Amino acid sequence: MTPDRTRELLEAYGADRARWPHDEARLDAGKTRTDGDAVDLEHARSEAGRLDGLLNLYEVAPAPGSLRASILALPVEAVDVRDVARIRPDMRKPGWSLAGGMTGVLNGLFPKLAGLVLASVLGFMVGAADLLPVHDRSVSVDVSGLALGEDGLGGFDS
Amino acid sequence: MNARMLDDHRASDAGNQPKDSGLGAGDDTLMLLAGKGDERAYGQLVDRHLDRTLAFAQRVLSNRSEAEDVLQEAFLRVWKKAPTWTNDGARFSTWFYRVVLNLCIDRKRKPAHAALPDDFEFADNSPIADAQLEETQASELVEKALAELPDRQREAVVLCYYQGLSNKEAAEILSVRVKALESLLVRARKNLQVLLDGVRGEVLGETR
Repeated sequence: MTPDRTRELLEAYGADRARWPHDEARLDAGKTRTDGDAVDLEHARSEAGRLDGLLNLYEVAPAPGSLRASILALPVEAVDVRDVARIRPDMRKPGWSLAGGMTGVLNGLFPKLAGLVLASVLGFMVGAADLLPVHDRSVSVDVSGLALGEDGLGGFDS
Repeated sequence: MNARMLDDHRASDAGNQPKDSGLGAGDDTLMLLAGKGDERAYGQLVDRHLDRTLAFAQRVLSNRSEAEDVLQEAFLRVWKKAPTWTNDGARFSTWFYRVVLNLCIDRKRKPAHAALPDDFEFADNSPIADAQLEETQASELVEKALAELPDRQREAVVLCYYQGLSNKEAAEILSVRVKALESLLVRARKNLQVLLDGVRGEVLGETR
């Protein structure tokens, strides 16, 4: 390795050869042409070492247990979201599908109106059920397993 | 990080093998297991990479709280990526460093941040004042000096010096050639020398 390359490595990676590129860290520093060059190289090595000493003072504390715990909890929450998404299609009876579809679209476009529209559709469905003959009341509304979206309205169709 | 730690780190990375894994599996294997819903494998990945990448994010952002937020988001991406993970040449650690770095860059874009050009060099008359030394810990001064660097210079020195990555891996993460990486490193260290010039002698004198 040439003295010039040695100087470049000192200036880029510092004085500790463990930080140099592996293939060059093992090489000899090379002979300098003059005593002045040797002094310059030694000065560069000294400066790099002093800066390394300063940089080593900057330490970072390891991650707290609480951070690890919250990171490990994230997948569980993600799985919960997937589970809810998987369950929702089973809940879709014809009436729910209509109401959910409309609400989902409206919720995206007009969030504040979506709840109002949902209430209207539900009212219509219940009213329509009352109009049916007693022996033909096949329309039923089961809200026991209904899971609302994060905002309490949308997400039926997601 | 001392030389021995650096060697351990490089040896661990080179073989892509864990230092602390009870499963005895490499990162790619753990990703495949995590992709099948194995939370224990995911936990192994967290244990293996959390401290190192948190330090990386903190040094890039100069902000501990934001660094922790970044790591939460980054590991969530690991979990989401796991089902489709393929070992197509990119090592997990390289991919993950990129994820963390990109999230850090996104964070730094949000506030009004006057970015300095990559080839910026501080004038010799702008060291951090000596008087600060008595009031502030040396570690904080170095952190402050690091924060003063242009983004790419800081990222280069953090990846190579503090994270102990090889020049090739650091260059890959930064999407530059090795020669360009070395240029960034040289400028970064020159700037750091200028910024820390006022405190250097006293700090080293104190710690000897």
